[in-house]
Amino acid sequence: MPAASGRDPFMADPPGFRRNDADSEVGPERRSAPRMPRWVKVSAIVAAILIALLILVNLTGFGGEHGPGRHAPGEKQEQGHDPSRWDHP
Amino acid sequence: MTVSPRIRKLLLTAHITASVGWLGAVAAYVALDVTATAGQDVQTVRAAYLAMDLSVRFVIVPLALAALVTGIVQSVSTAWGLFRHYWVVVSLLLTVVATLVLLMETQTIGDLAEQATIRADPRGLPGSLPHSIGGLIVLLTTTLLNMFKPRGLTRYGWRKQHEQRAQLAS
Repeated sequence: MPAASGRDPFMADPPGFRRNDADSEVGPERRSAPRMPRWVKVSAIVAAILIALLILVNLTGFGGEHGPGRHAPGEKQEQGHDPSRWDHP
Repeated sequence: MTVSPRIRKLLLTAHITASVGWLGAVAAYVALDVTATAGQDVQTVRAAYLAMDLSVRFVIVPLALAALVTGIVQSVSTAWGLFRHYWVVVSLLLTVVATLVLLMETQTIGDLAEQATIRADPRGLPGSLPHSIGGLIVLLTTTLLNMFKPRGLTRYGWRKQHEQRAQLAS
C-alpha cells in the first residue's frame, strides 16, 4: 500500500480500511453481534479432533512414553541413567 | 494504547523478525531432528542431537518468547487489538500453545543431547520429530493467519467498535 495514500504502509490491511463487501462487521451499520465465522468453526472442530486424538494416543500408550516428566532430573538418580528407556525394540 | 508510526514500525519489524526467525530456526531444527532420528553415522547423529539442544536453548526459545511478547505489544498498540478479531485471538492461542510445548520440550531435548554424549551409539534415541513437525505446522498456520487476516469480529470487538462509533457520533 503506498505511503502517499496516508495509510500506514506497514499495516497493509488495518481493520477500518477494509473494502471487501463480505466484511459486513466493519460496515457502516450492524445492529446484532456478528456470528462466528465459518473458518473459526472449522478450525475449532479440527483442533478438537486433534486434541482428542492426542489424548487417545496418550491414554492407550500407542505413542510410547511421552511428556517432559519422562526425563525428569530426579528420575536420573532413581533410575541411574537407564539407557534402555530410549532403546527401540 | 497508541504509539507513534515510527515506534509502530519498529515494533512490527521486531515482531516479523522474531516470528519469521522462529519459523526458520524450527525448519533448521527439523532437518537436525531427521538426521538424529534416521541418520546412520554415529558421529553425525551425536552432533545432530548436540546441535538440536544448542539451537533450542539459544535460538528457538528466545525467538519464541520475543515473537510472543512483540506480538502482544503489536496487537494492543494498533487498531487490531488483542481480542477484537478472531484471527488475532487464534494466532495468539497458537503462539502461546507452541511456546508452552517448546518450553516443556526443552528439558527433554537437553536430556537427549546428554544421552547422545554418554552413549557409545546414540542411534536408538527417539528424537523429537512429532513435536518439531507439529511446531512447524503451527508456525506456518500463524504466518498464514497474519498474512491473510481472515475476517471476523469477536463479540468484544463488535462492542468496542460500536462504542467508538457512538463516541464519534456524539
